[in-house]
Amino acid sequence: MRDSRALVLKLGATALAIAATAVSAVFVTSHLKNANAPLQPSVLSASDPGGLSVPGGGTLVLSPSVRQTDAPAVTSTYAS
Amino acid sequence: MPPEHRIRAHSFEALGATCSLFAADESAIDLSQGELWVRALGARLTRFEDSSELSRLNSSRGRWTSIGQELEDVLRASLRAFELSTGLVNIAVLPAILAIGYTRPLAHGPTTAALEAIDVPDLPDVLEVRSGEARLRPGSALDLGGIAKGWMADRLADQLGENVLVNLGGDLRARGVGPEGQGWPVGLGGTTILLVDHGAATSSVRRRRWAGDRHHVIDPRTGRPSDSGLVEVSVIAATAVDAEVIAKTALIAGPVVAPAFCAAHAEAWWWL
Repeated sequence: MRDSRALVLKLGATALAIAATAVSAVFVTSHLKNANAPLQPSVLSASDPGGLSVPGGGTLVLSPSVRQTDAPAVTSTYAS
Repeated sequence: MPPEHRIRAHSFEALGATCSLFAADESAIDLSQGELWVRALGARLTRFEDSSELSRLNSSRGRWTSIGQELEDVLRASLRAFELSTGLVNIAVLPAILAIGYTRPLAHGPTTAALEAIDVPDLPDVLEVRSGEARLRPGSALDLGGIAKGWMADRLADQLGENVLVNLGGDLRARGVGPEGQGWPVGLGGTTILLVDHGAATSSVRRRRWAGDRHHVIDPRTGRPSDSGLVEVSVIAATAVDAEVIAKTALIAGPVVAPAFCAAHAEAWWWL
């Protein structure tokens, strides 16, 4: 009696493992990676940064946390 | 209606450049105290004075050398900069800078350049830092350059007050909401940006040039002046030292890598 119960448990565990593997395989193959999915928005956007051309030349890119203004600058960043 | 504050300003020449301090905070300390701090610390961190703390470390021939807290902090920031930039920002470039003739302040003119490029070692291979001490491998030498200016701008802004703007030779750090409550208006790449608790910096090969193609931005991969295809990059980031490191990395990395690098690390950027 005890042996048959152990056998049933082993068969059950094996069947569960096989079923889980099969279900996972079906799920993965039906959800292939989409290369066009926006997984890394900031990096993907960098390949087309959508920068603004500025009057002095060059390209300017602003994140939403930084704003332009028409107010006169009190100072500037520059190379020294 | 946002509050408006009168701006106090103070400008002076230090660190080989023009420096400006601004305060829109009545409680900010006397800005001339900031000038004294910049001059005192600049004298300790310069490579152009034999008696400076940095020069003592550069000439220590592999011995552990006692250093002050500020130099220790700048050296640790430089090691972080090396990691962030994957080695493109490397303060161990001084032998290469000397080899191309930048041996003294350029106001005094360059000296004769060597014909051969100098190999630049990886900074973590030659510099060790522990509390109050640093050790530099014999034959290596450091130029703190822009990292020191950015680090000083960050520290000085913290000391001056809650609503201040520090510009040390183009390395900026803003604290607070500026004079009209919208941010500090700062010029960057031909436009004006509002900085609120941001840092900004510019790295360029258009300044400090001599003998045609020589300039002070060394590409550690070649030991020669950078020739990446970009001539100037300005960056806004969380701090001045971050902005300095990101701008220099982008400048040296070139136009293919720079957009993705800036997108990953900066709040705004301009390049030419």
